[in-house]
Amino acid sequence: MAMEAYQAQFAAHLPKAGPAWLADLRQAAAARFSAAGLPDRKVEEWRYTNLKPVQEQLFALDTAPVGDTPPALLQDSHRLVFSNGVLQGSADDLPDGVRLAGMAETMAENPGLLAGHMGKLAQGQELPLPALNQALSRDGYVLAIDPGISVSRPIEILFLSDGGASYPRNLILAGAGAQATVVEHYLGLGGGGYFINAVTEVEAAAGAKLQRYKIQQDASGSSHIATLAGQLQDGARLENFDLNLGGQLVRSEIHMALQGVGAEAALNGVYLLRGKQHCDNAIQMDHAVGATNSQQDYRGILDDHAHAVFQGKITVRPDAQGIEGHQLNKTLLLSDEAEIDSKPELQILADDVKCSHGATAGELDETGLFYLRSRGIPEDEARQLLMTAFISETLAKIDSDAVRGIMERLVGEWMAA
Amino acid sequence: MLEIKGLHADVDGKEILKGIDLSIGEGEVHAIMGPNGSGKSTLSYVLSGRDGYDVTAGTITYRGRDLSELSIEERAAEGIFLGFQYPVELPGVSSTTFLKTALNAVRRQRGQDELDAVQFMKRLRVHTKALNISDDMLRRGVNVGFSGGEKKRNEILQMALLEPHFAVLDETDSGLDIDALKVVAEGVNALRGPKRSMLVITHYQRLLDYIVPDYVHVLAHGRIARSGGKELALELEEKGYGAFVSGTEAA
Repeated sequence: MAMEAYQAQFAAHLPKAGPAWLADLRQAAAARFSAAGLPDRKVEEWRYTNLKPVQEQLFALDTAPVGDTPPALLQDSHRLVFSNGVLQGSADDLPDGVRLAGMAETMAENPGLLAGHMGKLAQGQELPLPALNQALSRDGYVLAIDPGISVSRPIEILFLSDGGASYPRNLILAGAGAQATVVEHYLGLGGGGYFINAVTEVEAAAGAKLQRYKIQQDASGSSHIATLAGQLQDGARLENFDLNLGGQLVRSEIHMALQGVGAEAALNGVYLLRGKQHCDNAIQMDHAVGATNSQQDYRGILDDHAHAVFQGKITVRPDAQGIEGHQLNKTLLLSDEAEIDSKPELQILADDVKCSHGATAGELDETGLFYLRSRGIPEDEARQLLMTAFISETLAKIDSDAVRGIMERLVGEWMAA
Repeated sequence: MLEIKGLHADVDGKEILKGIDLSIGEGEVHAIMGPNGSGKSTLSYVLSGRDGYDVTAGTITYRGRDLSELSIEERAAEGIFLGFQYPVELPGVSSTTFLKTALNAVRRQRGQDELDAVQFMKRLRVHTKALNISDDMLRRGVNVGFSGGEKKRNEILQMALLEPHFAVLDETDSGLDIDALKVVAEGVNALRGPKRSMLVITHYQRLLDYIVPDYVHVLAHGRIARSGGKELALELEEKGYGAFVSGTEAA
């Protein structure tokens, strides 16, 4: 699409609500995206993922809400439900010092909370999809936790979709020493060919501890693009886990900055794909200062004609001494037509560091399968045992017992399907 | 119990077994000895039904049934057990889960009720105690980080749990020092009985001092070159395989 065509579309669709600074943010983002357009495969970061299928869907806004809301994944959670990108209802029983509300609602009632934070991390010329999200987003969730507050119940956000294009814009602000567990659950109804382009920005002040778990079960014909941009201050820790099960065209992008001494990020994920599913995990880990730690462990199982991509880059800045950064990507290929492109990358500019990366891809171990079957275990069950074993080491890294249980159940259901 | 007639088998299109005849009765323990490359392991894999080990001629009749009709897991359920020369490591599959899944899969196929966790643990304890298998081993991934002796004891544990009618023990002595060998041999001997037959495959006579066979066969070039009683093993020890195997160096 030409720049003029984009400009015309944005002129018709840019939301008007909110303060002047937000209008400026939207205008600037629309201008950036109009100039750049959707990235094509000549752009290195998008070499393996073709966005052409979503071109016609970008401005399919104003979709009616989805019908019935399914039950929550977690028991006893603070829950928000978004229907085709728009909040329905509100969360109740929030403890003092915790705000969990819709982005649209927050813009209207308390825009000062967002100023200087929204768009701070997911910005820049190299991020056209977050720019598109910034321009068109109408809603999302805001979680702001005062310093020292620990949210004891988990927070569950459901993004329920069945059509159109939606642009959830989410912001997590954790004060010093604050703690919370957040599950973002993307769930599709029907076979729908809808498009989601979500952004979650996370700012964790000194000593904050966050667990953010994403469960992606979008509809089989949908396109799901999500960007997580985070910044961790001194001693802050983020555990992020990405379970990708749904969608036809999926891209999950993470930009994580370890900004303070002692900051730590564990970014792990599992992708289970079949049919013609495509899932691209692209991670940029930035060790901006010394004595910071990061781990990445992504594992996947691909069947049929599925295609997965893992692009992970660890950058260690010149003065970031004494850091540790590890990255691992392992993929099991169940079919000759399935494909994984794994591209680990290290850019190390400091000299006192411990870094590692590794990538493997292979078939299910034939010898292991024979061993199990020779003990009487039927072939299907033996295959599932080996697949579960392959994924289990990564799932074991999930700190929350309740969430790990849910993920194990969903993984088991995928294998039995 | 087991009747092998004129058995020929290929691996990757290459003929390894070239006409084997062997008959094993109820409760009998037969030893197969032979130099490297004679086809000993191939015979064990053919009996267990491993993919890629193709029977090209001959028959294997097991308890009146044609074995070729049965899949690997069906053979296990029918009571055929293979003790591996190199037990396979399965990282991420806990030993306890593996043993319980296997036992219940076999019980299901045999038309028996599955055991719940308590019943299973009770049964497991009896065998782990006798075989000196620690709780730590049971918690670990199957065979992961096990010593050579631990791996072989774990094989015997599986055999004890699955209660086979016919056990093939493929070079159970390989990689074991004399103390470990004694523990494993005691485990095997404890499982001998009038309803359980065994085929003990070994390169060395040493194992047969501890697991004393009823019959000994020498396998060479994919055929049984000679059969006899247990004294045949001693003769082999003395003279080497060269006396039985033309064109093959004694190993």
